[in-house]
Amino acid sequence: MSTQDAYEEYYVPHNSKLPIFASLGIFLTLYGMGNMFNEMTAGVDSSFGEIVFLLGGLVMGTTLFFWFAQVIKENHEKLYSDQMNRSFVWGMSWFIFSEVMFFAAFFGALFYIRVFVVDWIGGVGDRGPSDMLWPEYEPHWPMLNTPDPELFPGAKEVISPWGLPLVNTILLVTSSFTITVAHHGLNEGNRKKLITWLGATIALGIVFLFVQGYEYYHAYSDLGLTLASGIFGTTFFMLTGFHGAHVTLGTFMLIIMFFRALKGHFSKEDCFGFEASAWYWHFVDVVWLGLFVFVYVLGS
Amino acid sequence: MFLKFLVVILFLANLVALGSALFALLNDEGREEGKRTAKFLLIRVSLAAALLVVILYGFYTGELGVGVPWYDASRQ
Repeated sequence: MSTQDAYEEYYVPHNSKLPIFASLGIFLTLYGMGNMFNEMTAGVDSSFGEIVFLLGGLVMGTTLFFWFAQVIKENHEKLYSDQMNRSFVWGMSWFIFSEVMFFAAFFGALFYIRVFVVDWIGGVGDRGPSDMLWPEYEPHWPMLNTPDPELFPGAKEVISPWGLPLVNTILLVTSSFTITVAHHGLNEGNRKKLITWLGATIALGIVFLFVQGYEYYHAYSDLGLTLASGIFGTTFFMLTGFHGAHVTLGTFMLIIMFFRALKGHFSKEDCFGFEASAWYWHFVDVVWLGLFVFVYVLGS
Repeated sequence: MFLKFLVVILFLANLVALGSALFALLNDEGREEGKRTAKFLLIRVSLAAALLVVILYGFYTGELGVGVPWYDASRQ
């Protein structure tokens, strides 16, 4: 087949309204989020931002549902050429690349602060202006005190790794085992095994998110460890918060794969959607292991 | 110190196995040879379990305990 013939087979869905709805959903979500933050900062008692944010989420979720349904339908109708399928693979690979760079930036910030900045401000080299701004500063990690405790109260203590974070680590590693069993079930052509263990993985992911939510509540209400309680709190919540968002995303991916598996969509010859989602789940597990090791265990 | 070194090595091994699985995933594109992806992911999760065992051992022997002075050890 010539290159020209292969190009002609590239399927393009004309007149789709879905990108317009997706743009609207993204706009409403971000506009609502911006308003929420402004209202929180200004101390205004208004739910405008929250309503717009939730509306945006609803529009986006509904759009994605129909978008995924459309893509799956087109795939089943054999409208996609090999070239098109390669485009999906490339799309996933760029998404993964952006995710890796995203977490690399946050882990990089943590390392830079811990290894260099804390000591530099404390007097390794020339203390410079920090001597005037915060004369009592002593370098240590985790930093729990702040230059102005009245304006920015520091945390009382950090979260022990050996309580809920350890439980969450065990939950997530177990969920990686269950998704691997499901993956092998798919390769063996055993649909029951695939569905059962995929369901177990989703349940473990949801429990993980609830435990993480409770841990945040404990940090804010009992330990005074907040996003604004100093550099430890900031890096802690940025890393674990974004990780939690990615576990949520991964759980949604697996839920979609679960319903597709129930409908018998996968075979061992055509399962890129499942395999990519399974890999993504392993990825969020590895990010968590990095967090547990570098933030919780070696970080405190 | 050796235990901390082992923890970091096992974490790096996790990254290598995950990277190998990604390479297999993107090359095999979910076709029959995709069994390679599952194999690498099984290795990955086994390494994660090994890492967890080492961390738990470090916790019980106190080698990986929380070392900051203001942390109340009795609360663990």
